[in-house]
Amino acid sequence: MKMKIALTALAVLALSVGAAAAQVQIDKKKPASPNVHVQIRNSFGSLRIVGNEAKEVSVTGRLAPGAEGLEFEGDRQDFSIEVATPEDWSYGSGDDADYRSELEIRVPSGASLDVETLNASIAITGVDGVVNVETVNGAVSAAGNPKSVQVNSVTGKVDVVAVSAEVQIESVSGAVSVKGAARTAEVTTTSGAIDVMGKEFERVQLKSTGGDVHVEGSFRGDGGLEIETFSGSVQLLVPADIAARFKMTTFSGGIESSMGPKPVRNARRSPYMEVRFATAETDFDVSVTTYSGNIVLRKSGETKPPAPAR
Amino acid sequence: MTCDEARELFDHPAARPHLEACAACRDEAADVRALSSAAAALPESIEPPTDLWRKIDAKLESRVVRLPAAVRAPARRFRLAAAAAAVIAIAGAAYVAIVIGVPGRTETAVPSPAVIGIPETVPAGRAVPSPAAIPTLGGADIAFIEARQQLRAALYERRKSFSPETVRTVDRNLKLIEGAIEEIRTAVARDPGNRELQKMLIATRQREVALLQHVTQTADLRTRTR
Repeated sequence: MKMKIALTALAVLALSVGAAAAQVQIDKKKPASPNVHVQIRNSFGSLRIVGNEAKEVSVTGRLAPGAEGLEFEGDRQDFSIEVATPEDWSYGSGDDADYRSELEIRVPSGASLDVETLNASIAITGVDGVVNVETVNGAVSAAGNPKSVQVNSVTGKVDVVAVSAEVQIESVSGAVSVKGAARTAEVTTTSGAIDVMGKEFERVQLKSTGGDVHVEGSFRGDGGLEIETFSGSVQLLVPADIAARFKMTTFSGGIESSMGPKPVRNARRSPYMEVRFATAETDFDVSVTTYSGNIVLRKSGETKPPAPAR
Repeated sequence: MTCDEARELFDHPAARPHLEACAACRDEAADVRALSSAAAALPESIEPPTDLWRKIDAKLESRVVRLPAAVRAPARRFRLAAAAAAVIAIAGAAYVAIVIGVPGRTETAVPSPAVIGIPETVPAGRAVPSPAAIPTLGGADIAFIEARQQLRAALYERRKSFSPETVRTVDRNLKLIEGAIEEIRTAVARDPGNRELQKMLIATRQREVALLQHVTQTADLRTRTR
């Protein structure tokens, strides 16, 4: 019996050593200009991209055992970093550790990024340039102060934090969260929930078919907030002193508002419901339209959301 | 009755006295009916142009996507409501005969009734109207149909680019939008003068095309990230 256990242990050890030997550690760097453009592709695993003060692009981490290699090419202005993988790797293999390449990429803070993954998660911090991300299933997080953030995802969750520039996110089923943002945000999902919190928004456009939408923030200028859903509910929290023209419309959902007149059903077009009012003379428009989703508007600080009238 | 009220009810008997007295509304009502007739003259099936794919982006951006904003313009709302009606009718006609989702499978059942007075089924053998025949819409309607048809086929070709789980997710979301379209379409049929519903229907159709476009393009990541 003891012999059997010892043999098993040896076999496990041998397998572990073999797997470790197959892994390739990466440690590469090249000098780069402060506003370098970096294109990054990694199908499976994770990408951590960090902007810093160094005048170089560096890649560290671990390549998947079965990966064909890492391409790291470019001059000071333009870089390409790509994990090459066998063609027969299936999409379902993203959870398998043998297929995952875990990379940390450091770039000058002024860099702009184009990142593409299939299942690999992406975390970006400290990058000030333009950030574009495309992924199928990978979770995406971006924090810092990039000029703009554009994310296209299918199922991956998207979190954008403290970005003060333009944010444009398109997702199918992945939930989208934009927190601490300012200026402009444009988010479209089919079933993914949308959660937007920020201050001094100029223009916010949120569209979802079935995802719930939650917005909390302050606004400025003569822009607008536009929300459209089919069945997703909408909850909107605004400052009590907001200056805006409100128009909230639902066909078969309910509307509850702690501001403006009481919403009423249109007698001629029951169950159509609409409420319009302005809190000041302003060009800032707040428009919420749903088909069956409930709409709740309340002032920030109110503890309990009122139940929508139906 | 005011012009605004008449514009919401132009096909309703209650609006007739106003239309008889108001030349502007009468003209606009005539425009709407002309557009509706042109839309109804669409063919039973439309073959996909072979070189369309690369033009879809431009067409969607320049034509279809702009429509809801235009509908909001008060001065033109009546005419553009007609445009909306024609788009819906055209897209509805496309539903009847074009290939949906899986090549080889045709969506034959169109359960909802006529939308804004325009039949969902179109008599066979009619000629394709030239874009000039639908002056308010230009090529937007045709672009919409072409885009939807082409994107469905393109997505089908790329289904193997996704994991089975992702395919199921995409299918579930497409069904969600299709269900929304059907529900809104039924509501529009019950309340044909409701411009908000018309806009919602157009927006949801556009969202379907945008979803198809988005997922199809994402599928190409497979060939790029290798």
